[in-house]
Amino acid sequence: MWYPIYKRELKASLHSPVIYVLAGIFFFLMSYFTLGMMTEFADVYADYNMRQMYGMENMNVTDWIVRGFFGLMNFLMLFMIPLLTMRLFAEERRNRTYDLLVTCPVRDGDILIGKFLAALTIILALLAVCFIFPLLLKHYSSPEMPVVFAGYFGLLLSVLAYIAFGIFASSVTENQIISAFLSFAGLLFFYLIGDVTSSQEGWKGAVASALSIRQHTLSFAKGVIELRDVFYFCAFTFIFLFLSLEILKMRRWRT
Amino acid sequence: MIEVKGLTKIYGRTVAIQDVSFSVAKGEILGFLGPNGAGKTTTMRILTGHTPPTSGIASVAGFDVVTESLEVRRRIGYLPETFGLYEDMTVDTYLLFMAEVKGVGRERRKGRMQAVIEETGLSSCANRLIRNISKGYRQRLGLAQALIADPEVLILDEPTIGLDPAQIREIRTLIKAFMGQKTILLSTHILAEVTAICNRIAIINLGRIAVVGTPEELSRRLGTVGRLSVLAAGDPVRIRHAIEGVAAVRSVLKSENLHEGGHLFHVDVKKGSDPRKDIVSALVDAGCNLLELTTEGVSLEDVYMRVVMGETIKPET
Repeated sequence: MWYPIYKRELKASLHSPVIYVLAGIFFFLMSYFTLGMMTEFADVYADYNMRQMYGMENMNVTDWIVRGFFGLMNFLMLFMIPLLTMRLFAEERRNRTYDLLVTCPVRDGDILIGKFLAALTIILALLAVCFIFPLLLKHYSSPEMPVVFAGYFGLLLSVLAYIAFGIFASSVTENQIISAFLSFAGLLFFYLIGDVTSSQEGWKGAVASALSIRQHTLSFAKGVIELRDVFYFCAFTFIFLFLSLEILKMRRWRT
Repeated sequence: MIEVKGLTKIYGRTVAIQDVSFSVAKGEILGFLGPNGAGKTTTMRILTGHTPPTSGIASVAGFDVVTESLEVRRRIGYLPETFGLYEDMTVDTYLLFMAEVKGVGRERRKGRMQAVIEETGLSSCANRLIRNISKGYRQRLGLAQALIADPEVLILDEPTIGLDPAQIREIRTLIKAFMGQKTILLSTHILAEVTAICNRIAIINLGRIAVVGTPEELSRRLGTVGRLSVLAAGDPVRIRHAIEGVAAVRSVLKSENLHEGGHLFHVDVKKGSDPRKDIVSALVDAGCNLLELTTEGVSLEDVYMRVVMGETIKPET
């Protein structure tokens, strides 16, 4: 029974101007910085002296552009996804449309999955449009396509986790702004924790590194799919979807 | 069809309802009356699976509202007192969405949508965005979504709130037409609505069911014949004295001189007594001619006010 919820949610998102503003900003930033990286690569590559100066005699398009491209897209998703997921549950509860939905013969899990998949569809559409950059690169150069696909796979796992966290933030409050801030702050924490504390010795550094989103994206950008990274993102997604479901159930008991 | 036994709901330290028990037979319309905050909405929310009870049992069509909530929700249509609608949808697409969510098959959806649009008088705004329709139409749309899956049981919390008098009449007629076909639990503040639509009434006060029964039963159970009208010919002062001399008479409320027809006295009698025989004897002894003696029933308003003011209603024997 998740399908009607999914369909309605997707239509509601497409009818909202927010998605078009977000998509516009996202494509602008992606285009600006990716084309910037391409131009810089071309400049440096053309100038042998500069390559020697930077110690990059063996520079290639995969290291220079493809990794940067995925890093950038992943970073932008940290901002995009909280703005997309903030309304999913918060708006329903604030507008009291949720009261009618929970008395319909649908499970809480179906509502959750419907909304999750609707948000995922929109994000996947944005990521699919961005595939134009690797294609552009392939047309003019020879990036390692396995790295591109591994990068996309890693990005897909990342956005699953970000959407799950965004939905969790939206389920704990009726206020969309609080929901967006909460999910942005939480994701930023998980993104940066490895960079800030992984240099510490002992178990603290190990835990910080294990929890870090960014640490788990590095292998994908190198074209390597490691099982522990896949497990990390799957577990992250599952835990926050599970917590969201528990909150939805708990709210029935509290209302 | 609806069975409620010992239902209690406690929010923190507030007891919303306590030991609520009643039942609604198949095809019956039960009016749920009570002042604001009495526990009507809480009871309805429990029955619809919106909120679980703290203790007690409630079942709809034989399914427990907690353990078989999904089965219960398949069989009910619920109109909450306050509810939200998806403002970005049109009336017809919203109804199609609700039909799909409620499991109405693809082939039946459009037919059901058209039927409920017709029934609830939404035809003129079927293609309009919900954000642009008036409060009256929103209320009708709330009722339409409750009806969309053609449920066996309807739970309607203040269904005519916000409607104009003509709309109220239409909706009441619609609800009344379901009598015998659907089981309906209807809460309202409007006593006339209950009298117009319902077979039976449950009055809830301070979280407890004070009384359940037909309006006639309730009048009887108030333990009084209510008021008497005494029409007698003769000296009005003597008539009044004779009536007031009867022990079970509380007071003579007013008298009217009907000239040709004698004098009409409205008499308030003491609770639990029936002094009609004594009044007849007293008038005969006083040499007055009794022309007519009738009982004035207790109105639903009287019953309601007495319950809300905390008067105990004796159980039916």
